[in-house]
Order: sequence, then structure tokens, then C-alpha cells
Amino acid sequence: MKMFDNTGYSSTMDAIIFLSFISIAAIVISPVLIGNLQLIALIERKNQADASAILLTILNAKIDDFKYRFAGSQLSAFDGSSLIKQTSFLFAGRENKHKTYADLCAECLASQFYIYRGKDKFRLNILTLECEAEIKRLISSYLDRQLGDRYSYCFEAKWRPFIGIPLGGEIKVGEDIPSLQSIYVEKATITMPFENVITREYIESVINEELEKIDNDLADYDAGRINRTIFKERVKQRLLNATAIALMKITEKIQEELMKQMLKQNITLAEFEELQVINYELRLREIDKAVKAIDALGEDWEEQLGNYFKAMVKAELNSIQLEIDKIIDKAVDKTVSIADRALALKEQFLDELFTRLSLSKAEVSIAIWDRRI
Amino acid sequence: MFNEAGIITFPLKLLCYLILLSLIFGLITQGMWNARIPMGEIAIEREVSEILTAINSIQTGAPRNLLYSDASEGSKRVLTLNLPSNIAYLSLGSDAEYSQPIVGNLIVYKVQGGEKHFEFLNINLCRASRDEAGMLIPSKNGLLLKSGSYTLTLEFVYDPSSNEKWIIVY
Repeated sequence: MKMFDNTGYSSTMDAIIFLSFISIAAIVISPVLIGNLQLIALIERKNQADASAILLTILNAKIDDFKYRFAGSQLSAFDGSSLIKQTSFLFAGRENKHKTYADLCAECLASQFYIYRGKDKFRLNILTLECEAEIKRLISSYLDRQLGDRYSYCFEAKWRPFIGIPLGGEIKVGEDIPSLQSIYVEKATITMPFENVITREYIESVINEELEKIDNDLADYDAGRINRTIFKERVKQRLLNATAIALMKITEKIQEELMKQMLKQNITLAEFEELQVINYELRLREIDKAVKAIDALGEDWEEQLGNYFKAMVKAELNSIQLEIDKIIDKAVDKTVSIADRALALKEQFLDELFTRLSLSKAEVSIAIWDRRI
Repeated sequence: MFNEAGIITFPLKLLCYLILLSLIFGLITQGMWNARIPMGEIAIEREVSEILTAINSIQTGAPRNLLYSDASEGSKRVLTLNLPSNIAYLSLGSDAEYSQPIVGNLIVYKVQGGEKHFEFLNINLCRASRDEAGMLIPSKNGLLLKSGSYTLTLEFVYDPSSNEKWIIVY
């Protein structure tokens, strides 16, 4: 008979070695496991995919019946009874069937006529307030239904026809975006119901006279008749003049297109003025102290608006100066021919101008964030 | 009555065991001292991995247009970083050790006594600054972090005139 049984010794050692290896492996990969990075990455991907999907679906979804009354808010303020509401639909009702959210948003943006000054905004066309309220209600109800309790959201549609010209339109639905939470954003552009009246050819024809003078400046500079500083100053002045001319023309065109859009809503220009919905001079002076410095805004309301925008455009020219400086810096390289430099300068200038133009498109964005955090 | 055999050997044994214990503790302390650099690097690596994950995922979203002063916000990630006490620095978007810092698509970190580590990105990263209108724009400078706890916000922005995309940190 044996004193000690050693048969289990070998398998115990195997088990100890196996457990040791497992422990070492756990120590090696523990930093990764503790961070939960894979899980975080997966959740972020999913949230972003949800944001993209919801924007895509809302823009393409159709509303069966979209109804509002022209000057509906004003009629309700006069008498808010349901009888008046039903009756007023007979003569002021507007109905769109099977239109997409994207189309309705674009039409709503085009009819608002907002003027911006700093953080303030002022709506000139108040006759379509009910249209805006109705589209906001429908968007809100759609997003509540789709996103449920999972996400909070902020839906925005913004139309800024030209950066620097303080007019446009906007629709905002949902909560304010929190500053200390991760936000998943998706954006898209929608087509505005405007004709593409501001083409590159049109702008070129308007500012061509000013740009042609740059050829002479380049020749003078290359021949040594003027030094680098004078050359840069001259070209800068020419480009600023060209910018001012282009901006004035662009503003006029945008104003024309906006008026066309508003008049499409079955209201004549005479009625528009007669209703006195927009007392331009008074309101422009209310929203902007700078306008008080303009002696006479003009008799006619169109003239008043035109003068107001001209004043704004002059103020905005400074913001474009930096970009102009960058363009000019490339033009002082004498190793390239005058013709090539003049052409490059012109092209870059027009590119810069058109980067700021979005007459026919508006930006739609949705930001979602986790509600459960 | 009493077994006194151990009286003579006890002090000797005590001395030997104390020496052995001191040696063991000394070796452990030295080992831990030597391990502080890799341990610190592992801790920073974990935080940097979190930043890299955020940078990758933020780019699947939409950026904010820098030309508009009232543009709708771009994709944002909010991170909380805990950097160890022995960190020399964690530099986002620049290499802090150069007199003329390299700014752009990199993250650099270093533990005291350790080597400098680089992580290269597919997008430029920089600290945010505010323009005259109060809008957050890329400052084209890096952000230098020392030890401690930080809450950082990363935002995806885009400049259409230069066609450049940035991630700004504030």
C-alpha cells in the first residue's frame, strides 16, 4: 500500500498553469476591456446612422393634405371662433396635396422674408405665419412619432441667399441643442422655388469693367512702374469695387425673386401695400439703429428696402477683405504671365463670390442626442 | 522543562528574514517604479483611444459651415479625460516640444521619463477660438493638457472657401 497518492499532482499543475495564462491574458487586455471603446464606437455609429435615416425619410415623406389660411393668424386675432375659421377657409384657404416635407419647407422659407441684424431677426411678411405654424406642427409630430423616447432632436431649415446680405428664412422645430452632450448631426440641401437668375456669366458681365483694369495694374507692376505695395493696394481696391457692384446686383435680384414668390400667393402688389402689413420704414428703423443715419430711405417701400440692403452690404464688405488679401498674394508672383495671373485672379474672385451664394438652395439639418443620459 | 534550542538561532533567523523581506520589498518597489512609465502610457493610451474613436465617428456626421455666423451646429462629441499625475503632456493638434509648433493632424503625448508618442489623424485638429461675432472657429493652434480631469468638446467644422475640414476642441 502506498503512503501518498500522487496521481492528481500533474493535473493540478496543469490547472494552475492554465489559470495563470488566463490571468496574464486578462491583465494584458484589461485596459481595452475597461474602456468599453468598442461599445462606445458601436453606439456612436448607430446614433449617427439614425440621424441620417430620419433626415432622409422626413425630406422624402409626403403630406397628404397640407392646409393653411393666407393671413390666418391675423384673421384669428380678429375673431378666433371656429365658425370664422371654417368660413375664412373658403376665401383665404390654401391647400397642398401630396407634397413632400422638403417642398413645403422650401416654400415656407421663401415666403418669410426675415431680415437679420446681429442676433436679432425681424419678419417682414407676417401673412404666412399660419403656414409656418402648420409645417412646424407636422414636422414635430412626425419626428416625435419616429424618434419616440430614444432621442431628443432639433430640426432646422435655413435659407441664406448670400452670406453678408442679412435676409433669408428659417424654420426651427425641437429643443435647443445642449452644450455638454454628444450630438449626432446630419445635413442636406433642398431646392428653393426660385429661378437661377444669378449666373456666373451675369456677374462676370456686371464686374468685367472693373476686373479688366487689373490687367493694366499687372503690366505696370511687371514693368517696375509701381512697387509691390502700390500694386497690391490698387488690385485690392479694384476687387473691393467689383465686390460692392456684384453684391448690389445680387441683392436686387434676390429682392425681386422674393417679391415674385410672395406675389405668387394670390395677392397683388397693390393689396400687399394696402394691407399695410409691412410698414417698411418704421420697421427698418426699429430693427437697426444704423438705418437712422440714412437721411431718406425712400418713398416707395421697394426703394426703402433697396437702400437698407445697400447700407448693409457696405458694412459687410470688411468681412470679404481678408479673402481678397489671400487672392492678391498669389498675383504678385512675377514668374507667371500677366494673362494667366489676370485669369486666375478673376476665377478665384468669382469662386469666392459664388461660395457665398445659395439663392436656389437651403440647408436642412437634424441634430439628435440621447435622451437617456 | 523548556526547549531552549531556538534561543540562539532566533535573532539570526529574524535578521535573515528581515533582510530577505527588505530585499523582496525593495525589488517590488523597484519593479513598480520601473513599471510607472508603461503604466502611465497605458493610462494615456486609453484616453487617446477614446479621442481617436470620437474623431473617427464625428466625421460620419455633418460639419458646421464656418462662413455662416448663425450656421446650425456640426457633429459634436463630449469626452471626459482623466490624465495620470506622471504625464508630461498630451498635445492635441500640435507637437508642443518644437519652438515653432507643427499644427494639424496629430496627437502627441509623453509620460515623465518616457518616450514621445505620436498618433497621426486623417483630419486637422486644433483648439477653438472665438471671432468678433463670438462664433467658435479653428485657432490653428494646438491644445496642451497636463495631468488632471478635463471635459472636452470636439466639433466638426468646414470652411467652404478653403475647402478645409477641421475638428475644433474646446
